[in-house]
Amino acid sequence: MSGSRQQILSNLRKSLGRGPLDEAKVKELEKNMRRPKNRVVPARGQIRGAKRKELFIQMAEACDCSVVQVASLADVPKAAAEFLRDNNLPASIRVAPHEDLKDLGWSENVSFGLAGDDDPVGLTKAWAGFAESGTLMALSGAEGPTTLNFLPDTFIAVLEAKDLLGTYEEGWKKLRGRKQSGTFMPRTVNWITGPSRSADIELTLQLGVHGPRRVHILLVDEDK
Amino acid sequence: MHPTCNRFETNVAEALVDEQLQKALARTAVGLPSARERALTKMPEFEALRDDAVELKKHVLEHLDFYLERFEQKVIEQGGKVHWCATHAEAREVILKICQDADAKTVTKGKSMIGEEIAINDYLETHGIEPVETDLGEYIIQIRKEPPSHIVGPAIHLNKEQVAESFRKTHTDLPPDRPLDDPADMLKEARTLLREQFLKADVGITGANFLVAETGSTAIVTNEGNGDLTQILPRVHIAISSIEKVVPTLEDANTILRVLARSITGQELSVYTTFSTGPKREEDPDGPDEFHVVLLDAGRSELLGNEFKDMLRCIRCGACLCYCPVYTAIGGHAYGWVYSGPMGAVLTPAILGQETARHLPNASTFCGRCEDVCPVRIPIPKMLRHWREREVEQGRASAISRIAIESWAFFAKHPALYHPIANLKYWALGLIGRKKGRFSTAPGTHGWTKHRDLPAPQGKTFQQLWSEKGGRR
Repeated sequence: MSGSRQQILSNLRKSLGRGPLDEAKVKELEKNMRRPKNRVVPARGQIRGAKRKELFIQMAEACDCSVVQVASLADVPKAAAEFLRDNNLPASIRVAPHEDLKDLGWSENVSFGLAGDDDPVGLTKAWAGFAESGTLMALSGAEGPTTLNFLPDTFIAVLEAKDLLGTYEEGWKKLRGRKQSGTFMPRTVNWITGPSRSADIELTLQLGVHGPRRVHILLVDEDK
Repeated sequence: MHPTCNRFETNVAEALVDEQLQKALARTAVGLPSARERALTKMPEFEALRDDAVELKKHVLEHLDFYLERFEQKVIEQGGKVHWCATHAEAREVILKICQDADAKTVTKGKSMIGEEIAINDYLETHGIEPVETDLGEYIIQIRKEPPSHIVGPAIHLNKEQVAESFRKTHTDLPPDRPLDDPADMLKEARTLLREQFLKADVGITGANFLVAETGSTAIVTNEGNGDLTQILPRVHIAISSIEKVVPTLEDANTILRVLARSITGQELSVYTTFSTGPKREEDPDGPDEFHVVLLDAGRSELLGNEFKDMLRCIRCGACLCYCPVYTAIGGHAYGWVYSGPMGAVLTPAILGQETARHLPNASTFCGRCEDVCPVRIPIPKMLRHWREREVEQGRASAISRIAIESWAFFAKHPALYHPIANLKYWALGLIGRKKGRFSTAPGTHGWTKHRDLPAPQGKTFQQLWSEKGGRR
């Protein structure tokens, strides 16, 4: 198999009409990778403050999320319970073991940890949100089990206004600045833009194929 | 799957009289392009994003060896493994070996065109491992034992009655009289059955929409979430990708993402965009213990050095299919293999060889819509012409087409003969067809008139109008 590796690389070089890149070129490419190129970034997401929040809500709703604003993290359990009650959904919630979510005074039918097949509702803390497309960004790790994003039928994400970003570029910048031993990149980064969907049968749009049918966002902002 | 590109002409004849297929194609030709066009009105930078994506892809292809080596190095640093495979057969063997080492009984699969290309399902099945497609469309075609008819909507050629019938035939444990009239019923049934499969699978195989050299990540975009359950629940995750999918940095991935979904379903992003880097870490409560990346060449390194190089820019959005007057008339299966439409007509002969797929490049009117809608501006018509040139050079073109083109060329080079003969022909046709304005049959045009009428010439020819208006020659 290392034979195939050599064969593929030498075929590529033959097709490109050159040998391996010289040291100077390699250094240049490596330097460029450390300082990612400024590419075209749509103006839409490059806004701040109230406008950014407004765009996020508009985009998230356009991809079938529901959004409710709450003033503080302490309001999250009540807002989540209200959402579940109003939509006739089971009140049992599996919550991500996140530092900010642990001591909010949850009711009894709340447990913490990764999701199993029979958890009807998952609740996590989004690591960031993008106004550009109404997208949530989640990182795997002790505080964010990935299964919570996918297995439960209903997904509730808590997003703090301070973590609401404009563009995807801002998300990568924030990730690169993360204090972390080793790589800044966690095992899994999920961008979530609405509930799971498919149009595979006759192009008829249906929600909730394998992932959640509902995505509800609790936007925590003291200036709500 | 065994390619049927050789039977292209028969496949087409069958597709044209398949009423059900024609209905499905009409739906595709309207539904997806209109979603795309609505989305473009909301993105004023779309053309600039396309230019950026072209520049990015060109840069990557010029330095593909470098970025692949960097990608490999990063995957290894994260505790993953990279398997370089020169051929389809090698990729199949590598994947089987990983599955056997994991003592796998069942394998779940996210949608992957490379998986289709190497026909991994059949191979695993022959070796006693059960592969389960989990994308709803892929699942439907798997139980029907069909290839995908579209990259993005693999079951786009079917109607709901056909899907219901296949479900009844396959899911025999369920009550036979259960209602399956609504797509929602079928969705619920598939969700329940596949959820069991997700939970019991030993290995999960996904494709990769791109690879990130900077971090050693593989990335997939899906709408259903099946690709994610495929890779976080089993103990082993295998991502399979062709070699041209690498991009330098995460920021570069943004550029691809901004043009990918928008070009086909009109979404800002597909619902789930997922970056996977190595196996799960010590602190992770879930995720796979093993992470493998299978890199497939299968002829691509050679394409990099010839006139089909630009095809390696393709990001598999599927837009060119939905806009193609040929694809939307004959559907994906007529092309006889994994890739169809304009991109398939260029790529299939490159991968399978021209001997097998020589008909496909002829399946084009050269209208140019594929190139117009391609997010990475691939000059597809130009490359189809290259294939046709090769066909003629190698003496594979049929005698009839050769004679027809040579005689046309003779007249075209002798305008003093061409014009009077052409004028006479149009005058006569116009006269005969004056009453109806069209012909329902005419000698030598059976292939056309079987499906539609041939319009009779009306008024003057272009040449006559040009002369009358004093056009310069």
